[in-house]
Amino acid sequence: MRVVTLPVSGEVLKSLKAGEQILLSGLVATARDAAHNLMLNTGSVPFDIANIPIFYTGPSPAPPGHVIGSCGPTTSARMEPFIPDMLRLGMKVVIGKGEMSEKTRKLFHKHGAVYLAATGGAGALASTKIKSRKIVAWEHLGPEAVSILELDNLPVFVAWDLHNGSIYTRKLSDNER
Amino acid sequence: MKESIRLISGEEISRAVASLYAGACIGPHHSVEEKLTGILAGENPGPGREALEIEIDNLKIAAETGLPICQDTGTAVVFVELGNLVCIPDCSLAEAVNKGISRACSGSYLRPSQVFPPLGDRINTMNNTPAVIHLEHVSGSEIKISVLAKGAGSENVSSSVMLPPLAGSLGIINLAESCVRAGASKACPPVIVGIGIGGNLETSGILAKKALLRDLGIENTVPELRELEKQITEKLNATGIGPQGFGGKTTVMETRILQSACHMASLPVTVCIECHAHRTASCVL
Repeated sequence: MRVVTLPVSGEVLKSLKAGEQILLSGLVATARDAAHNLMLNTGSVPFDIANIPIFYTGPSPAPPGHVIGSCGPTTSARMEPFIPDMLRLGMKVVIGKGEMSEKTRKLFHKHGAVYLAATGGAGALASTKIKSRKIVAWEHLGPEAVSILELDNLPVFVAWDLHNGSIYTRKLSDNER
Repeated sequence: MKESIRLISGEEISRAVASLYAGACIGPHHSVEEKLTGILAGENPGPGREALEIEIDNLKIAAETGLPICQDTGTAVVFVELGNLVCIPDCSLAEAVNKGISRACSGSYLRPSQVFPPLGDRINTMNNTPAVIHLEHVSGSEIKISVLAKGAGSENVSSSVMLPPLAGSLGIINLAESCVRAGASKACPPVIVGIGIGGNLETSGILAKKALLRDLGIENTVPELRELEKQITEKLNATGIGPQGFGGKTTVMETRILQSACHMASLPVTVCIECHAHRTASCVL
């Protein structure tokens, strides 16, 4: 399996193919509904959006001895109203789960952005692939606070690639049927 | 007839609820693991199968580490069958249940996900209360408590509809199919489809939720409903949506239906979608 280290170069981004499983390492920022609302209302994104992918997640609290609690992806479709602005601000990679609209897929394509899907409901496994967590904004939001995570080989799937490929509408090959 | 009142303290109920809720969120969940492993054996190579492997690994990791299976430890839905001879002398049932949920939330590091008010500030209550409690008053001197940790990803793609009274099985099948086609990839498949048929607007929703409590692999005792469940599962699996929506043979693990009488002019139906991280636990006090 291919290991992809963040921040990802344009070349590597281009080489990703919908349906491929990769192991992702490096820095990502967590944000979901409330944080997106605040980022766009205040006009301030508390991380380098061009180089740090957004991971749609709201982790459970870290038990003693753990860096973070359970930390799987949340439904990406809820963030769709915010996506056009985030793409304009330079977002290149998103990690979430579930299909989003065709309109959003085209927008990703237009901005040269890639959608990665982590395995929904697999939060305990994801937790073991996170080396560190630092809250960087809006701590009062609790699980929805913006934090920077360092990933260590988190398994994710390329959902939308730069070549109009989608894991959700992929034609199943004969041996998958 | 000489039946005596049985006293059960609020504390005893809180303790039971806390242990059920934490246990449901963390596991182990051998029956879900077995079910997914069986599905894996039938899936062909591809990202759907790979996602299924991750889902199974995750259940093992949760049980080993004590981390919740999923960060969304849900809305705590608590079904209580309260025997008529039981008296809780020191507090209300709701107080006892909510104390248990709050205790599990802080003690087992579960995520608080309840916010209030629902419009505007949406402030997190920080202890995942209030629970949603469904109380049934039954005869006897026991309390049966069942907890379902219900994630929002799957809840958001569920649907309640008032169908025309003669819509029949086909109406139910079509509704289930439209929910699954529109939302399954967002609901962490392979999902369980709970369907409540009849009652009225609110009853069908409770029936659909309650249907999710049935143990995996246990068949419906009503022959017509058992047949309809099979038909729906087969039809939905033919969509090819597959695990996580990545394509594959299994989109739905099982369909479960509960029914109730309804008004002659109505056919209320709720389709409640449940994610593969199916978290329930129950006990009898």
